[in-house]
Amino acid sequence: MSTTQPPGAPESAARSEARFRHELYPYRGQDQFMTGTLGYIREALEADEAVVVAVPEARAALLRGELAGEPAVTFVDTATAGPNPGRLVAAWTAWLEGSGEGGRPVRGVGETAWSQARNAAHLSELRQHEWLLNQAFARSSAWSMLCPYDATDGDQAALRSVSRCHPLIHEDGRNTPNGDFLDAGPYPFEVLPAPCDPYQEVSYTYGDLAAVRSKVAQCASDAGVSQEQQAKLAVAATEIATNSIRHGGGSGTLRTWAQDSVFLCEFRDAGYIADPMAGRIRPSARQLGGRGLWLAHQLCDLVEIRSTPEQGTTVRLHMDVQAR
Amino acid sequence: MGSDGREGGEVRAARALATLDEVDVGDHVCWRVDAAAPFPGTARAYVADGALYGDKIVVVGAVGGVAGDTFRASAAVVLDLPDPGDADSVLAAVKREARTAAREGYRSVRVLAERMPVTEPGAAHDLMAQELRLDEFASECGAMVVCAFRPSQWQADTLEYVASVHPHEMGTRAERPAFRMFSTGVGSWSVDGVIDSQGAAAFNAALRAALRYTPRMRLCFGRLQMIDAAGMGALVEAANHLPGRHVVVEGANETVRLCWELAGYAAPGVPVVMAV
Repeated sequence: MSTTQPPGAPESAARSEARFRHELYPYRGQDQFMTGTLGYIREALEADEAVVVAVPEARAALLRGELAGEPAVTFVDTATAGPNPGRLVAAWTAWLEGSGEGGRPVRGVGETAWSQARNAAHLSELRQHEWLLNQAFARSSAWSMLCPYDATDGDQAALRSVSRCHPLIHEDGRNTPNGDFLDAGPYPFEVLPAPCDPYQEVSYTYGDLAAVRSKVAQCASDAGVSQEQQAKLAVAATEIATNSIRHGGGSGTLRTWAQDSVFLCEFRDAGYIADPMAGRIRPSARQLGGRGLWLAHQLCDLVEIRSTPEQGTTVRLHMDVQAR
Repeated sequence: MGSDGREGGEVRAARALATLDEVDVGDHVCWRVDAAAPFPGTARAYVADGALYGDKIVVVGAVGGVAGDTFRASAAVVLDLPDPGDADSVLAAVKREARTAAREGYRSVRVLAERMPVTEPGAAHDLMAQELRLDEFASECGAMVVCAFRPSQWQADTLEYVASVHPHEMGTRAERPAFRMFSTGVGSWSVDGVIDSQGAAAFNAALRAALRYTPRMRLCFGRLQMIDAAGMGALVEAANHLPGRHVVVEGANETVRLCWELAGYAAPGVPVVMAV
């Protein structure tokens, strides 16, 4: 399991013992949301910390009304990062860095619009993103994050799934350790559902990248993926197939199918991706490799990665199909 | 004639030729000679066409093992150079013949060269550099250059590398390399096709060879369909390989520009700039 220090993340000696605080704040109703979130923000402001707020627009409007003119609070829209939760670690890194110039501590307030998840795969990746934040910012003592969660619907199973990704629970202005937190071991993904019939399958190895692109383009076109999205998919598919050839035993199997207005490409190989943060950190110009999964995350509407030493790696690239 | 060697300002572009009859001014053709093909006969027909169109014929080396006298009989100039792998001497001799041809009133120069396999370390890169300069010559002077290769005598990788710097190809365009790089004027090169991880090394070698002689390069991506992370890395590495090199990429499509930015290369200090 790797940890990643975001570039430029400050860590003063006084804070060297502290860790990234990632708190889930289950609330019921607007009043509780405002009380808990405003309390968290005002505590930050009193400590001369900056705050980055990324919550659904209706909630953001309420907070803006209370914090009008407060220069230390920045509102951001997670939609600008695109539809893939795999882009959010890099987005948060950039937002926090942008507000934390000069080593100033930064608090994030991030509420995921769980109810607007496009499908089960999207929901699963959103949860994994919350869990990955702990890995991504593990050593970033100057950063912390509160994740408001609307628990009004009383869905305890859903709340528990999200809760397991947060080491702390925020309640009545304080945080307490979360006994359900998935602290150790690999993230317990849901098993990927079987491809939807009918699907197409081809094997590939060295020399077959053009054939992989051709198959993906043909099937994507048949499924109604736009030309613009097809161009992005060609790059992503090339990167994932290249990883199979270079790191996954030299070959792989491609499957494509369409399901519920989504076109999917699945790549299976014998390789193992040990680092759960692979593809989540923006590369620098000097970095020699490690851009393949990053590009896939940035170019596709969703990327699912399942990898174990025993079963190898499966990568699913999703492209949403716009209604014609 | 335009600076790219084409009449009427037509932009030079990669294409496949069914026969050598289709070779036009400004073309630089990779001819993978079929083992079963009547090589000397095809070569003779190409030379004979030159005589018909008023082109000066320049034959480099002993094409197809045919004695120089065969071509001298058709008024061809046979350049039997002591070291056909010496890029400077080959190019200088061909350019000299081109200047003479212009004075003598020929329409163009029609060059036929059979390439000998290279095996020494670095020789493939030298050959690429030579081909790029021949390509520049063809582009600028409107010459016709046909380079013959016998695949059975070449290592596949080396032949791929060298083929990548010929914009024109006899027969069906080979799947690999998936890109072609060619001259579109002084200090200006164009790339068409696809640059992926399987073509990135050849692309890197082609760029390194071109950057030897072109410290400030314009690289047109207008006909490039796609470039992956390995291809982008190859481009940056080539520009960093020699000091003082600078590449401006022009005409890239939206996805290529997006990938460039995402890959982190749109940053200060990178000697390759993606023009908007």
